[in-house]
Amino acid sequence: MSLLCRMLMLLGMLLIYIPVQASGWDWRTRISVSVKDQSLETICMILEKEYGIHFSYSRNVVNLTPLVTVNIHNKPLKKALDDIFAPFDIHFARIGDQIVLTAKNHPTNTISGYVQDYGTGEKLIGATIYSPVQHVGTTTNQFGFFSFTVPRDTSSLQVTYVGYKPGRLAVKKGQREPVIVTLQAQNSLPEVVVTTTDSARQQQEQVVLNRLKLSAADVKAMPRLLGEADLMRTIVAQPGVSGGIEGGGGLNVRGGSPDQNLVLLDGTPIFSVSHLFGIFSVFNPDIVKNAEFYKGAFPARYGGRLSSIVDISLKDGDMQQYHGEAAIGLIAAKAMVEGPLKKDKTSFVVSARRSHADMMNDVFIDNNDDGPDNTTVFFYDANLKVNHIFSEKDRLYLSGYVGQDKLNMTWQEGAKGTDDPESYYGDSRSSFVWGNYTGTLRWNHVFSPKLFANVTTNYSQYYFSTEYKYDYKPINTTDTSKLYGKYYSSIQDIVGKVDFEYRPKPQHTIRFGGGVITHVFNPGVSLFEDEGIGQPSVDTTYDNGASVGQEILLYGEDEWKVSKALLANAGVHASAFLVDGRAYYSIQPRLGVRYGFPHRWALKLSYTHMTQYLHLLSNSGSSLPTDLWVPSTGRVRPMFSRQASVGISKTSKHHMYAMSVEGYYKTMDHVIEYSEYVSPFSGAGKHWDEQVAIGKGRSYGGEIMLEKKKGTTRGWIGYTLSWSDRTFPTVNEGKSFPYKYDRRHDLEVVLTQRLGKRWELSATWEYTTGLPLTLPTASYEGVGDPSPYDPPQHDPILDHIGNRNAYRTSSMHRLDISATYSKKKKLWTKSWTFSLYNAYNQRNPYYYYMVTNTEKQERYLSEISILPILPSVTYAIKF
Amino acid sequence: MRPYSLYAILLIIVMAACEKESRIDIPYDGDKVVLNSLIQPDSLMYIRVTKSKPVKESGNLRFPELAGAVVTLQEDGTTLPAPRWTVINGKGYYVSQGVAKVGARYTVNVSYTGLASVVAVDSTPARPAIQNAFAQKTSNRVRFSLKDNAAEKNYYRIRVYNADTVNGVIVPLKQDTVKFRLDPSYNNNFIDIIGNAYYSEVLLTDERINGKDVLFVLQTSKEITASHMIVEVSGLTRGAFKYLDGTYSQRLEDRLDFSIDPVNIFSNVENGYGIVAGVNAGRLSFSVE
Repeated sequence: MSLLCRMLMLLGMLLIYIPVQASGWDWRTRISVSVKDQSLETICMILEKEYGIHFSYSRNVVNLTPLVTVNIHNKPLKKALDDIFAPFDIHFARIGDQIVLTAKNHPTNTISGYVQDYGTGEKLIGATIYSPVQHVGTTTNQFGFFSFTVPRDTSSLQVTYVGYKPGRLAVKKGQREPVIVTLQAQNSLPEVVVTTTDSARQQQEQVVLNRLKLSAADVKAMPRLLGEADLMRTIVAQPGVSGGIEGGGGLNVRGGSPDQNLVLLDGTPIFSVSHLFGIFSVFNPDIVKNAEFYKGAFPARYGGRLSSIVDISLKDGDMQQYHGEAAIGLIAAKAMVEGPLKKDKTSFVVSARRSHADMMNDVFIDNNDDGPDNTTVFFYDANLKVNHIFSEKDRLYLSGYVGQDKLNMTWQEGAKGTDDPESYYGDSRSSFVWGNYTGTLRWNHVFSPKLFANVTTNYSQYYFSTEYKYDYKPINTTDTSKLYGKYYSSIQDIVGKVDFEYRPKPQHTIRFGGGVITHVFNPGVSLFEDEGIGQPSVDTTYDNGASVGQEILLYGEDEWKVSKALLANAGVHASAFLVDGRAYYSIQPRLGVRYGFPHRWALKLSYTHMTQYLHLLSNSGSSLPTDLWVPSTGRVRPMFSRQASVGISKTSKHHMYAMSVEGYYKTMDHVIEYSEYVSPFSGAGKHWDEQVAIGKGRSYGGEIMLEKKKGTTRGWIGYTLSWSDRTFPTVNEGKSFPYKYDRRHDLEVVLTQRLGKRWELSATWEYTTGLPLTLPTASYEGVGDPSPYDPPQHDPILDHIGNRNAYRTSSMHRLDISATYSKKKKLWTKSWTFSLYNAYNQRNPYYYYMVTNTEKQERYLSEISILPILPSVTYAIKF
Repeated sequence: MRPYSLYAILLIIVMAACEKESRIDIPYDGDKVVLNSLIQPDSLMYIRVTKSKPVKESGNLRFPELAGAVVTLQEDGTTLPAPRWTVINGKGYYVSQGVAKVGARYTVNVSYTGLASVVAVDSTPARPAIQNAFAQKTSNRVRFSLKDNAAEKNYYRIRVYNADTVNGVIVPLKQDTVKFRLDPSYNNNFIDIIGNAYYSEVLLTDERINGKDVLFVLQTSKEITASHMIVEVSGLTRGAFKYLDGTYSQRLEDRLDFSIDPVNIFSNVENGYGIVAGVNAGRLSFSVE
């Protein structure tokens, strides 16, 4: 055999031999090892002996003397070594056929878990976990979960939350399971101020940009309208936000319309947020745990609306004991109960609220002679939430909401015994019902100390329905009639979504996820029947133009603490909308930056794109239950906005006072409005998009907030200077005009004062310049008949309407005050709340119309105001 | 039919409101020619020309007539003899010298010294086919049939009059308008039900009755006592429908005329205000049984 042949054979044998040697083990090789109080070195020797795994290390670098107890059974090698070495900061790597052990340069430890109330087990959202040594920290997410990677030698962490005694979290080496940190509530009295360190507080403020966080206590501290505390009214008191009509309810954020707000209740979108035509919001404050409000710098995880995000979290329910609250006021009575179904495992919270119909009718209904014989107006809502802990890593939340407003009217005609008895009996009944149904199922899973996931599936429906029945029965003939009619509209959302939160280092909180939303639109269906005439009605159903749109979304964002001074939240929200064979796509960059300067000054910048695939058809100057949700179409494209904002903020040394100034500029494309009058019950019809004008919106302005955050006297002054306009090619001769919610100046003063241990006073005063108003600019004679020999009832006087919104209503201002007396009994706490809405009875303009007085031969503009001074009293107990 | 505003209804129903005269200074766009004429086939054309006024008024609600205006009338592009100034029931009209035709297109021009000239164009619609009217004394129901023409988009105005016989001829008692309401399935108008209201006229399109022969049942607000009645159904052009629909409360109600809706009343008069539109009333007289 030649030398060459021998060499080739040797090479071949080597090539065969090396893989055979190398394939003796790999990372997936399953191993079992069980020792008690043995050194790490012993474990290495066992593995070498049993599995042929060679370890290479230097005793000067790696310390293998610690004694451990290990019980590993049939685990993949890599996972097993990770379990064995990670607690000792020993790094392992495969080089050739051996495993080389080295010491980690900067050993770290990731602590994860939940922060919760000591007594109730309620998860605390936004609690701060802070390392005083490293001066770094993090906060809990919406589920009370945190993940914090700290140096290995960290022995304890500080945990704080407003209204709770600070706690310390002892850090155990090698702790990999989620920990539960419990904090004890302070005496719930506001004068007891939490002694949070300045650094920890700064951390809390820094973490989230442009977010307003409201607790139930914040909401309840505000003066009440007719005895009802209201979340939305608290948000409306912020700069940059205004209510739609007097009384609140509507939410107009930075020149946006009410349909441009994404309101989430435990992650489920709510389409109609008010009861009683906008006077109260649908959220019962007794079970609201936390609400977050964004008007700019929208994080990438939110999408689908242009102007604001209101993310409301409900209480989870007490895991230890039963508690409850009940209250009765002038308008509504309500009750709430929470408690464990199984201690430390399953809890529930259930609440219900209902207005007292009879009393409301006496107070509000204008029972004039022309009106119905009987009218009832009432609303109710109910919430149920169940929370179950499967394990330290898995939790399930199931919640449901139902809320309705009802208006019933009946007329009786031809009643016996009247002075002018009719020749027939007529019975007419009309009912109007509108509201929301929602259901939510959420599953939290902790994949690892650094990775948290939440899977949400939910259903939300808003509907409006009206029915009438008319029975006609003549006395002298058999010509009876039984009319029945129904009209309804609805929108439904079915959502499936998964969200991940990954915290690899304290400097990064990475969130990513995706979802699918099925929107089902039903913009108006009517149905008529007449059982009396013996022939079918002209049509049975009308305008059943239901359609389905699919929204698909993906997002990713990183909350990145670039340096001690610089914090950024950068992300992208991508979405697609499929409807009627068309597809729309949108990639929306989101950026928020905060730079801290010495002496607690900070600069904030943000730039965001938002896309909204849904439109709201509104046939009135204000939001009404009859408004119709419709999808984007070939003619009406999705709404799109760009918003940039810049601001500075400053807090005083002990965080007693805070000040912020912010300016913004926002553009909105493809906004719509009806181009001519449309009846509120006619439905959208199949060609609604031909009846609307499509245009652009623009808003810009500045906001100032001065806040006192501590002490027995607290409150804020918010001022907004803003402009908002719309431009439609076919409206107002194509010229821009002020948007209907454009307010030049808006000043809000909110004050709460603690008096002793039992009294708390609060007051809000609001001043706004007038809203835009379109006025007639000429009057002229009308005509009703072809021939002058057909005498009209009177000469009609018609008005020519001038430029859109060229004038302003008079300015508006109002003071609301409230006083609450609380007294703690042995087992329960009682409280009385006395409120005055519109305390000095200011007659603010609400509505304008022309009055024609033919007797005096005069015409003038009349101003209507509603809601005069309204006193109220509420009695509540809490146990 | 256009309710003055749903908002206003809700407001009246739900809230006890307070009212006062506003101090807002109402602007005025300046004088303009107002041209009004509803053209009925087989009838003379009555053209009313007035001048606009500021909105706020005290002492005199009448509008100034423009007696010296130059009014020209064209039928399908052909200029007709100049209308003559005539005072009828105390009001001045420019009256055509001949009657209008069905399906013709009319153009009215008005010039007046010191004001911008105006022009308006519309055509005349067909007369609706109505028959089989029926009503019974001491009842509250009036019935009739209407056959809609499927080939056209039709607009209707329905009115009902009590009537009497004069020399064997049934004449409407036009000051005694009968108020009634229509099953909302015909005009899809739920707002009628909310207010439980009766109207002196009902406007509807053929959206729900297109091409059908439909039996209408009207319920009158008062018991029927007249010996005779007249059902009037007018065919309207689209312009006439939009104008009459938008001006319902101003024409027929003695109460408030709301002008808060920022949408103008339909007008086809260029450089001025008002309406020139075709209507064609079909009337069915009958004895009440």
